[in-house]
Amino acid sequence: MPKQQAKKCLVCGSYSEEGLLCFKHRTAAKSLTEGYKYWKEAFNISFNEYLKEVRKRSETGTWVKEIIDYVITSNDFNILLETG
Amino acid sequence: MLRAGGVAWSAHRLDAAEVAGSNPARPTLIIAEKNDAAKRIAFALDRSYKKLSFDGIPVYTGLWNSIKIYVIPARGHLYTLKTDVGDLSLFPVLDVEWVPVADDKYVTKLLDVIKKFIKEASEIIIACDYDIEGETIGYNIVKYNGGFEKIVKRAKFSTLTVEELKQSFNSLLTREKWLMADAGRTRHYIDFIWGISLSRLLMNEVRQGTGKRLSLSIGRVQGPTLIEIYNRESEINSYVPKPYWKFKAIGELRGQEFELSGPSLKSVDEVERAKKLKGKYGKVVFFDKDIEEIKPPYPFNLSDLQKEAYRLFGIQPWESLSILEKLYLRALISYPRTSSQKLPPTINYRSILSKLGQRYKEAGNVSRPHPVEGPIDDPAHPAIYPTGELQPLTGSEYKLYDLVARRFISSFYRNVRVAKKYMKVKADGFDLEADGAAVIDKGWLEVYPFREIREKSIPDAAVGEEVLIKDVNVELTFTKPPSRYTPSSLLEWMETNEIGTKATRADIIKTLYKRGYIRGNRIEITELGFSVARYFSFSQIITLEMTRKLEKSLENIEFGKTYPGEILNESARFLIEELKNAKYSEEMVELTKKYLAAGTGQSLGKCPVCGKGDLVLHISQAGKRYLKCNVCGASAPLPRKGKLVSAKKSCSYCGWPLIKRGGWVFCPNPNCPSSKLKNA
Ligand SMILES: [Zn+2]
Repeated sequence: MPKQQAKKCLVCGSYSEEGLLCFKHRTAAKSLTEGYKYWKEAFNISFNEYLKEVRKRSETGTWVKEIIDYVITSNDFNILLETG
Repeated sequence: MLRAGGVAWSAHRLDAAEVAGSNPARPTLIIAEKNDAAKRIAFALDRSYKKLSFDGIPVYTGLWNSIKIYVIPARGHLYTLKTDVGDLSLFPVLDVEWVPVADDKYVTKLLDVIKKFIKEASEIIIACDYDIEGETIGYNIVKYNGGFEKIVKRAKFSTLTVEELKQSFNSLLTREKWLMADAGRTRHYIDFIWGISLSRLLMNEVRQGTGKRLSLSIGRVQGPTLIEIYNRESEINSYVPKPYWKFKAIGELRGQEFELSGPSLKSVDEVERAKKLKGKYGKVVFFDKDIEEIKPPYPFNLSDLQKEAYRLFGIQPWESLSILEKLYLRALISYPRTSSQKLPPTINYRSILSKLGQRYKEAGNVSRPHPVEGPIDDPAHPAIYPTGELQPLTGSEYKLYDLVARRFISSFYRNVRVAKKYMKVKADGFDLEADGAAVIDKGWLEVYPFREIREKSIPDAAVGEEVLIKDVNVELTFTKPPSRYTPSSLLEWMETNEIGTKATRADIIKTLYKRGYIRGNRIEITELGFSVARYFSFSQIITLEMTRKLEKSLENIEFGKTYPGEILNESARFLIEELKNAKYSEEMVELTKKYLAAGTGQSLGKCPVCGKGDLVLHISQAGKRYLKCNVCGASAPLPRKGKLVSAKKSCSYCGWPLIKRGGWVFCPNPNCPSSKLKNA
């Protein structure tokens, strides 16, 4: 049985196959970074404002809300580039 | 002589005297699928038939064309597949055989009785449902009880009316090859080896990683279905809405106000521009009007009917199938497990319409000599239609019968006619549109009123005419994530992707619920379902393409285009190859560990809020644990770690069930006075 160094997702603590995010939060990070251009076009807002607005919407997915909470409290915006 | 339990059997010994009666010929044995069908067949062939009982097994007997007949009802499948490879760590399992359904005393007795009758009979007629499952049931009974040494024939019918049954038994089919049974037996075999092998793979993974034996299973068709739900869940959970503005305007032309709709607007700048249209004029650039003829909907096949029953009455697909089955066994409708959207003239349209006329006056107003039909055909059965027999019905049975009857009548009705208009207006660079619709003849909607045609009035116009934009309305809106599947829409997905069969799809969905992989009517995947789906979503074993390909091959057996042996070999080779490639998944094991540690899904006591439901332990996507009532939805947070069990006592302050973690007993109610006392 392969024994690897346990890697944990920064957002939820779940096992992550590679990198700092688990599958769920990696997927969420990707769609979050891709979504910004539509909000910028519509309201001409900053990325920070964008996160706060998206967090408020009921249509927003649970995993997306979780990663926004993490980014806002930890101020760790780089994590959103973990979308490999 | 067989002595299965004694009394009843000896009371009706099949001795020479009884067999001979007025006729020395040996009797004919008829195998039906269910008791009600057996009774109807006996009645159709001999109105003065008798019911005998052999140790509790009903046998119907009578004379048909001066030959003694015995009709024995099966009870679904009497044979099932079994393997002797008991070691759970061994897979794939390819060593499988048909055996009588174990641990069922009734089946044991029934098979004893059948064996005896087969021995006495000179001819056997398989009169089970005319489809793959029905033929498999009948074929196995005959095969494993020495029946193929006799003459074996097949009865084909689509309704249990006296008329059709008589006709069917007067023109029995002889078979050189039992292709439907071949197809059915191969499908069962492949489903069995895939199911058991994949489940063992899954359990083995979990046991290697956690040291625990967890009973997990997954089937050949359940696999891709679960993966589809998992994909949908991922889309919903990672959804980021996009903002846009809906754009409507009120126009005025030739003295009439009407609604115009514009394109969706993407930015505040566009919104400002659109708002400025108010009070300005646009120009008509296109106008057209026409009469639209809407043909009646196609006669029902099973899945169209299941979808309609869900849409109109919220009846789940498996419920409607079981209700339709009952209506069929009462000879009120034709056989429901059909794909056909066609109604052949042999069913006698006029006679059915005239019988229905006693309840539905619209049956006298039909105008087509032949019904409107859909493109899908089924060689075994026509579309579902009412036989014309009328019986008092209530509740869901009435609703579904009424739907079938109305749909049947409507297929002979004249078209619905709608006057349509379409206008395009250009205003300051924006393209605006308006649609008009007015029903001028209700047509088939008179008898089948389950479609809505939205009427809307707009004026006539000529190209170049000016339209005054009296008002502009913009509304900020956000795109929505894809909707969750319901059992009905999931069934439709399976159908579109050609996996499973019309007879099995509803049950496959039900099994996913039973195994705890999905929950709710708007389907959510559970933590366990998520980890199982995630594991298989990486492998090539369960892919939609593979499943669909196998379905096609199985279908080809039925039509004699390929042989069971060929498909079995191919499928086994694939399974062996792919299982070799299956990779150990740390992630799946970790997800399952989390599931095990959390104790998700167990009830920790009765809900004190509604008094009806159970407080069930859940874990959120973020790993937080909470209790939620499965009836009223009352909830309470729980500690994140540690094994939680019911303390089997209620809180003396608030009545909530107490919970134990190690030596600590606590009340989970966040508003319990006891927690305030502690903090005071
Ligand atoms: Zn995570």
